[in-house]
Amino acid sequence: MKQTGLTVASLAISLLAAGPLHAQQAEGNYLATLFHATPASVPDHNCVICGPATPLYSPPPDASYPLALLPLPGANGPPVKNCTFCHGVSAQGLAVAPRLAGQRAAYIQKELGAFRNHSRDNPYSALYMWNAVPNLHPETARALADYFSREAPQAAADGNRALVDQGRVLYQQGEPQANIVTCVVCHGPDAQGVGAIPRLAGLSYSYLKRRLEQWSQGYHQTAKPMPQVTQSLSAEQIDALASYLSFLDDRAASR
Amino acid sequence: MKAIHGRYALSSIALAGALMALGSSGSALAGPRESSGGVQAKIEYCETCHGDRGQGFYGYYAIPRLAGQQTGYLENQLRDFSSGMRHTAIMSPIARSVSPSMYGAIAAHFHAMNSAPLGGGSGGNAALGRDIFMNGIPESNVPACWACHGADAHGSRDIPRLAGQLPSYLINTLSNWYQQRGTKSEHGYSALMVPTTHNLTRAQMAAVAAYVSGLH
Repeated sequence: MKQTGLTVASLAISLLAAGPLHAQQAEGNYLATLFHATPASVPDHNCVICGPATPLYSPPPDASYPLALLPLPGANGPPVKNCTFCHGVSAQGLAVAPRLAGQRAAYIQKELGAFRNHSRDNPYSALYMWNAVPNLHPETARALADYFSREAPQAAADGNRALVDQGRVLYQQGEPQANIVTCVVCHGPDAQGVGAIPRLAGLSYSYLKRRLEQWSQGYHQTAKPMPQVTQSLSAEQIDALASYLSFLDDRAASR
Repeated sequence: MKAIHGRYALSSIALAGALMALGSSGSALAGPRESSGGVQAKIEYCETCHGDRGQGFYGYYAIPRLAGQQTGYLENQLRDFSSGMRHTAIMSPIARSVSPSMYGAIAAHFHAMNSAPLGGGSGGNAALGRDIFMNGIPESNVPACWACHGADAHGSRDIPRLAGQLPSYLINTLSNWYQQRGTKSEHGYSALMVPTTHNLTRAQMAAVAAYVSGLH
């Protein structure tokens, strides 16, 4: 099952990476049939690669409604399928693509901008996301962010259970003697995030671990203060944090 | 000024003694007291959350501005967090990891910073806030803020600077004064604020926050 998922993801990813080709919109281009809701000859097509000619979807003004499993948006909605090819069914994350469901809308929008200006330069970002966003219309980005932020997140729960307690202590208190700051002060008591600060609860172990490692390797240095926050973390501490967070179901915690 | 330094030095010694006694009796305050990397590493640790220009940061909780803050006030807060007289789940364990010998250098470092206010609205009426700041609210027994905090809201010695502070931090502080700082502080003038904060309405707190957060 996982193998199939990987294959689908890498297929979609390699297609995404071929973005510039798609921009040529060659007659009968396979990509056009994959990404276009309507044939490329129709001017107001709905495509994440080309970007819509006009804003196609206006999210409701009140973004505080509860998270839910959403029906796919209709023909006038944002092109979520272009994201879920890689990010998985209902955007719960798949292979190396992180969960988007329940993520903070302002954070998703900010990261789409960071892929666009290449300031988020982590290897998978450069490989996949840089090619996915150049023609993304800002209105569409906003609509996608709004849509995924309302999707109910499920905890990946794929870390090492034995490290959960160690991870919880580190998350809540940091380790002042070693100058390691607490995560709770920015990401919140249940790792739910706020504003442009991401929800971490229930993201996959491998994604969290990779991100925490890569700041110290020199990637994504614009995401202050994370490069400084992670520099004093040991490999074992990163393991513990990623494990703890992967099991955290903040919606269950707050019920 | 000398007298104040003398008092600090004496209370530092007393505190260190008290902590040592607690440590040897296995209290919750016990733990590794030695911090890695010395004072420069500790300053960078502070800046990770409070901002590399000391400007504060909007996390899940508002992290207060330290830039330009009065040294006496900063040292008092570290001391009170460390002793438990002022308590927050985040700052109390952090303050206990800071050796009292570092207080002076840390306070001087942030006092010397002069970054621009971070901004961020409070939803309050800044004109009303200015009126409360300059004239107080006589009918509610609220004194004029400037009388202690200074006309420029820069504070002095033990009295904190308010200018440029994050508005949501100011509102949170004013509305939780008794719970967080109570009347227990041995240092500074925390107890003075108890009746004042009690008599302010939420809207008046937001108004004062809107006004002083914009001062530089």
